[in-house]
Amino acid sequence: MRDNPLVTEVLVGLTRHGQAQLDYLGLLLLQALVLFLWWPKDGVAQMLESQHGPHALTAVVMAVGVTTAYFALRAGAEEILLPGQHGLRDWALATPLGLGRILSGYVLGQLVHSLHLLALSSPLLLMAFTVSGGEWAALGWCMAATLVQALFYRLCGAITHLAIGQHRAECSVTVRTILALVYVPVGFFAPFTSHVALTSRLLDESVNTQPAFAAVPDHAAFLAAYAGISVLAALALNLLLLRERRGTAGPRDGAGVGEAVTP
Amino acid sequence: MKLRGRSLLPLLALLCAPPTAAADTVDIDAAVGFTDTFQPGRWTPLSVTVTNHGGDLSGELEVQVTGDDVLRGRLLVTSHRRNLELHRDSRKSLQFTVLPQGLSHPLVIRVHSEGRELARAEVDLRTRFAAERLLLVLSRNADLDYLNDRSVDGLRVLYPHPELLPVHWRGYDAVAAIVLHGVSLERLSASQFDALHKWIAQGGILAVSGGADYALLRSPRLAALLPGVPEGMTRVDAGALQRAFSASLDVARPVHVNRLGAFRGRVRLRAGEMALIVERALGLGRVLYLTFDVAGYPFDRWDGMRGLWLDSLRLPPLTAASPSGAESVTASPLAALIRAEATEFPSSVMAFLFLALYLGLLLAGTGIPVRGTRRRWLALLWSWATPVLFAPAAWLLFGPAAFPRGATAAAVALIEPFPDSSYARLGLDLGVYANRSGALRLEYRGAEPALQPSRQARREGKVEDWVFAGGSRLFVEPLDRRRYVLHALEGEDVIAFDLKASVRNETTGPRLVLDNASGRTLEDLWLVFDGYAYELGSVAAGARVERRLVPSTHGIEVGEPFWRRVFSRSPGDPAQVPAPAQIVLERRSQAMGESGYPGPGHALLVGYTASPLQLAGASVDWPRQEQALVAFRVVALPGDAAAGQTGTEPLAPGDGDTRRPKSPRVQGAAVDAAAQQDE
Repeated sequence: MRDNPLVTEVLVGLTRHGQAQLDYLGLLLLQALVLFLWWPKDGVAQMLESQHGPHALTAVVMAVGVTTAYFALRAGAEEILLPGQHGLRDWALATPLGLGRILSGYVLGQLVHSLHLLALSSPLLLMAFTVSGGEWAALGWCMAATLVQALFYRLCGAITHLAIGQHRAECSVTVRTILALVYVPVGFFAPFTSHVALTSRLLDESVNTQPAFAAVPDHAAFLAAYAGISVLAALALNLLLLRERRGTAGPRDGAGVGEAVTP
Repeated sequence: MKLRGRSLLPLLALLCAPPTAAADTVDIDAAVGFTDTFQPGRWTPLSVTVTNHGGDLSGELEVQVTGDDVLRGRLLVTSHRRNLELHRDSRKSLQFTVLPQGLSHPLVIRVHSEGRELARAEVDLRTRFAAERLLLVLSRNADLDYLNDRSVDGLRVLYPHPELLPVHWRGYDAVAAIVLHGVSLERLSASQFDALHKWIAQGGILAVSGGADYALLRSPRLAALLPGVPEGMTRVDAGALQRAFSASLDVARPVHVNRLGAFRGRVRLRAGEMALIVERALGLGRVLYLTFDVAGYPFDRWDGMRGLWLDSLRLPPLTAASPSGAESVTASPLAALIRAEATEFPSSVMAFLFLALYLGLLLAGTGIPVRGTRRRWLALLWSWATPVLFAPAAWLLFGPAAFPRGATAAAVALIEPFPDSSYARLGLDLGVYANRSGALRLEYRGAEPALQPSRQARREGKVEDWVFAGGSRLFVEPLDRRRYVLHALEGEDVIAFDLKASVRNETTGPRLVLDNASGRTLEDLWLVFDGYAYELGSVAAGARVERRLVPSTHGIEVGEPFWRRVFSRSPGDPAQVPAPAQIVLERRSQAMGESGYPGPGHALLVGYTASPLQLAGASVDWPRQEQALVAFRVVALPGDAAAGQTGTEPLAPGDGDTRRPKSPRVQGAAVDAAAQQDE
């Protein structure tokens, strides 16, 4: 994995400090605020009377899902880059690396980055988990869904950037519109694609008599749907990169590559 | 050679066949109630006989009782389970105590093993019910059919086989009285006799007929229950009988009746010097001894027998099929107990501080200069190590340290000793809940209450399906596995609890004599009497306490409605939140109605003790919240009453007491010793 310069770039970038870290720290603050707001204020006796446990975990997982998706979209659109990280177009046009290697490195780098973000959120998740009383399996499925969803949004952001990246304002609006569209109307009309709905079904047992994760197979459908769409998005990205590379004339001098791969 | 190989194939196939019994080799036979008759809405015994015609069987016998959840329009299934081990070609009978809620759903009986249903039977309840109360006649030849009465408050006379009597006292729920005639109680199993004894102690009526074979009545078990034992037979002439019973009694010659020596209780009917009907109180129940043969000459042809029986039995008016007295309108004591004792969530302040520390450290880490310095490793450590260290810290701090995951059992018990008895009524509110999802199997011991979903849960439509297991391993398990749901049950039992007390109202104040033979320490004991509450402190197990109490010195003046609050609140509790003990006492007060609690002429001893229900097996390590209250209502005797007299609920002033009332103190194996002592 570390042989891929794009992955190396991410691993190195994570150890440096820059705007990306501050951006995510802001999102982490938002997650902490959600946790604090949903932290149980009533006692156990009141919870038992209402037959509803605290919703802190559900709220925090939803917050983690939407913040990592937002972060991934912006990172895909190259609004956010780790310190020393280069854009996808740079890798495609300025290096002789094959597109397959670039794409695999890009995807792996995104997963590493998302894992780091989840690691940063993990104390908050575990705090919520202890009081909400969810199940490890359900939490694991939610995290896997968050990772796959973030990959999808990262690729969407990258496609948007390759398509209209030269118009920064339009690109910025587009990526936010994508997030809003997929989260709200698409999630409403096709609930199996909604991370919010999935989290609610997996972690909130107030309606179901059986543990939600055991009764509802939607988590698999969610993962499969997002994985499938991500593959399609990766193919589209590959085509866009190929078109960019073919449309570019001039010698390949490899400018910037040294900077990219040198920590 | 080939032929030999072929002949071995069927043998090999036979050897390789699974050893479990096939589905059609297990038969189920069931009888509900008494002689296959039961009363809906009342606990009733269910006898199930399983016959195994196949190989050895190891599985489970399950009885499913289905009711309707009207509020939610669904079925409620209560499963009663027992382990079942049956060898090849053998048969086993198991008895359950079930509460059929209605007639529309049959009882379903299943035998299953390793997840496979081996046999199934359904018991149609529509053809087996009786709306009337039941009168059980244990006799070989007595015919008491004239007591049958199909009115609303009527009686149905049944003649069950003694060996099929319930093994749990709750099984007699629909029974108004039992008549014993010419049958020995020695034929009953220990659990059957224990159930019968407990049923009488909690208010049952047993009438025993005399007869020529009076040796039966001298057997240890009956002797322990009867007011007295027969010492022989004696003749009563016809005139005396007619004067005692009625001139309508068609008797032409003398009749032999049992002759009693000393007895406890009082004579309700006599012919000259001969006692004909003697009665004694046993706890809240009564035992009648009719010294003549109720099925013999001349009573077998007398029209007045029905009236005599009804006068003698004095059956209490029909009550609603509510198992725990009056319908409670107070809050649940379980909720109050949980509110008082449950582990609370970690505070918001603690969460805020932890989050602030974590985010502050991450923010501080972004300020570490790393480019081109030797401290780059520090940045790497900071970016990964901080969350990696804080994640387990969050888990430990907010989990095991402050708010452990798992199941909790909550129980509020009210123990009410019966007067002149070594038994007590146990009213139990039992709840289980968990802060994580999953199975909640509560194993317990110490009592065998007949449990059902709490009335409050039923009113609120919060009842789910349950599994109750009996036999050697008792457990309850709600089939609803949601977290943060209180699964509440309520039940009653009769337990051994030997507490004797007398209160005499002397001129200076009450004089209390308390003999604590319950085996449990009574703590924070109070005496409530005549508008005053007296703090008595702790009374150790086995201790005898005699106290003269002066209202102005030892008492706190309290009004009838207010003394419960004085007793039940712990320091620091909010004034508007009632404590579990207070709720329990309010319930009892409501159940007592207008007579009040403790009521005029009565004193009440109230204190705490150890819970009789103890966790067992896999549940022994569960956190528990429990409170057991003892409430002993004692008749206050006049100040000049004989010292040592126990404060029992007396019968009307007796005319035949030939010796002082004596505590029966019989239980289980002690029955025999007590009987010998009485003799």
